[in-house]
Amino acid sequence: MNKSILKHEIRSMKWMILLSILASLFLTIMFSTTLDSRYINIFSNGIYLNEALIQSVLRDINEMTLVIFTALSIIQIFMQFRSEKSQETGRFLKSLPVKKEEFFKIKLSTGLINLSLAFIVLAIGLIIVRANNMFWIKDIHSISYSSKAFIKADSAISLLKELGLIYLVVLSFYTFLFMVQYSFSNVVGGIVTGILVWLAPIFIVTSSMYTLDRLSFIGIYNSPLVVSLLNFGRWLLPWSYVLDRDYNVLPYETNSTQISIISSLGIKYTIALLLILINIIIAYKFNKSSKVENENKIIVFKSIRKIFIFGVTICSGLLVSTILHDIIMIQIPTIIYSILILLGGFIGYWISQKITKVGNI
Amino acid sequence: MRKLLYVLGLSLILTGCSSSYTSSEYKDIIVPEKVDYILDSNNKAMYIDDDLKEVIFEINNLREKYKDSNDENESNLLYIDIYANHDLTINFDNESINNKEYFNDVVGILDKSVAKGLKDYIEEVKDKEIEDNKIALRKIGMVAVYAEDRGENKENFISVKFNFASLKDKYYSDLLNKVSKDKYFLNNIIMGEKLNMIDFVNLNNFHPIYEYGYFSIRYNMYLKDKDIEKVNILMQGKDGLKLEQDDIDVFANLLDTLELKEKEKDLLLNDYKEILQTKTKNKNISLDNYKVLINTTKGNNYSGEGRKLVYFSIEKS
Repeated sequence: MNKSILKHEIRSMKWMILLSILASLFLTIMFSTTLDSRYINIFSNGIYLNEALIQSVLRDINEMTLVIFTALSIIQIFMQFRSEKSQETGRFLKSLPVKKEEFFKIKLSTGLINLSLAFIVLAIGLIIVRANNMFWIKDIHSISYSSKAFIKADSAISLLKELGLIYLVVLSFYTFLFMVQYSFSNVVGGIVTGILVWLAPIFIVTSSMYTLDRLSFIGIYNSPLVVSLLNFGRWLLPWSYVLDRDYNVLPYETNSTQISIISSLGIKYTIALLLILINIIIAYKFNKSSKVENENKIIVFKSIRKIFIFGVTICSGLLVSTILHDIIMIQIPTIIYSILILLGGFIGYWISQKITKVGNI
Repeated sequence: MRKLLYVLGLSLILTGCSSSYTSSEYKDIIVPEKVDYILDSNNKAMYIDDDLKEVIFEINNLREKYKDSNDENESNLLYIDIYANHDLTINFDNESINNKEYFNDVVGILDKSVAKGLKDYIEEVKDKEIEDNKIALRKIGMVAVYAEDRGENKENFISVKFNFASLKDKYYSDLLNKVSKDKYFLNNIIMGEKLNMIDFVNLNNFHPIYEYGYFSIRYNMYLKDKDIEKVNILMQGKDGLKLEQDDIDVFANLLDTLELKEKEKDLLLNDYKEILQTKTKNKNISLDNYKVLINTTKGNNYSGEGRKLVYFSIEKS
């Protein structure tokens, strides 16, 4: 690896590394204080519930972890790409006798290592906090109605498995934004488009189902096919992998706290890993085929431009439909509804055309 | 291409390892019949004595007498459903109950049966001078009485809590009496797959309004059938607080039920007496048959008002 490029990358990343590790420490402290408040509660109120304590506290931390690290990924992408995309620095860097692949490799590895480091710190922190608290938690396991199940739910391995999924989902989002950056010449534009495209599949599926229902082409509540399609829609957004839980672990209903686990963990791991791989491969291909002549265009590749226009048109139409249906919620005749959707689509087409024409001679 | 296949293969292996983490593996561990049995045992572990049932019926019947009274909102009239109530205690005070006659009637019923002397005590304490920031706490029979001066030139605030559950298992009931000798209140019993746990508390912990000027103590006794496997004593109090004689006696009774030598008993009793007096750090003591863990540092950062938590655990080794 080229040492000077590496130094340049690390210099811009050192604040990111600090921020990521601070985030991990913050999450560890939150985990510890929540467990402490449960400890204090046992002194005052005693043990009543069969509870997998570590797991139930981790459920609260999971969402926070996902949100914080997603935000950190966005900041990291911004920090990594802003110098390249600026006119002068970008042109200077490209004029150096260093291969494009070198830049790509170094950028990707520093980004991945930073996020991985933060998660390793978080994992170690959580395991240490868990070990410090087991002396009182194991008593609760011994009086539960199935101590094996609760010990398993609270084990270090379960903790790491859940954390591992969050790690992979964060990495897949990061590599996705990384890939989008190689097809956009504007950093912020690339980030915003990346986030919108990340959310687009589930938006398109759910919104088009509701639109077709409103236009009476299908009945959402009648058709089992549509219901399964809507459920399938959850799989199109990796963020929901962390949030979807299976509460039916225990064989009956009680008023005790249930054990809940992230459902279909194996499949989710596979999908996240494949996503990361695909993103990296596509980003590599984009990087390889990028030409200097296309630098002042917002979207660098012709095929991406076509997909961009098509996507924005469809999503604008569906956005109008969602606003009318869910936000404003007025009753209008179907014909006006359809006209407004088509109008929305047309506006989207017009805007995306303008954006793609920027920089064309 | 080779690298791609390598990573794909690795990811498939990884997911192969984690594919066992599904709810089906939990369903293999949990045996529903066993669980049903344990839940059933839990439902039957506590019971209400016939005499106490009479007391409860008398209190419930007061509703007829007072339901049309203008002073009292019908929802404030006490009603204890002996079949549905999982929390086998009742708690009432002279602030939420407006009708003085009703309050006195309930006190009278308790005084007759389960708390002899309650009526006189309440008469004595309702106008008594209680210092600011102090409370009067007393156990009378099966009842705990809490009194506090809330100012405003009126009667002191008096709260009464009554526990009417007993343990069904005779061995456990005798064991509890041997240790507590009527000084502590039974809070709960949990029957578990591995161990059963009897939870009993001292007067300050029993009453829902805590006062950190007094020790609040909770005993958790973990038993495997008839053997005491572990005892946890969970204590809260302010730094430098001294234990009441009752609390020391109960601890001494507990030590008598365990297989300890005289020297070991003295050592533990000393440690217990001094628990918040000296700057006790966390301790691990190994005895012949037991290991003792004393933790005085955990949880103190987040509890307010100089409150200290002590986790005192005696476990069979």
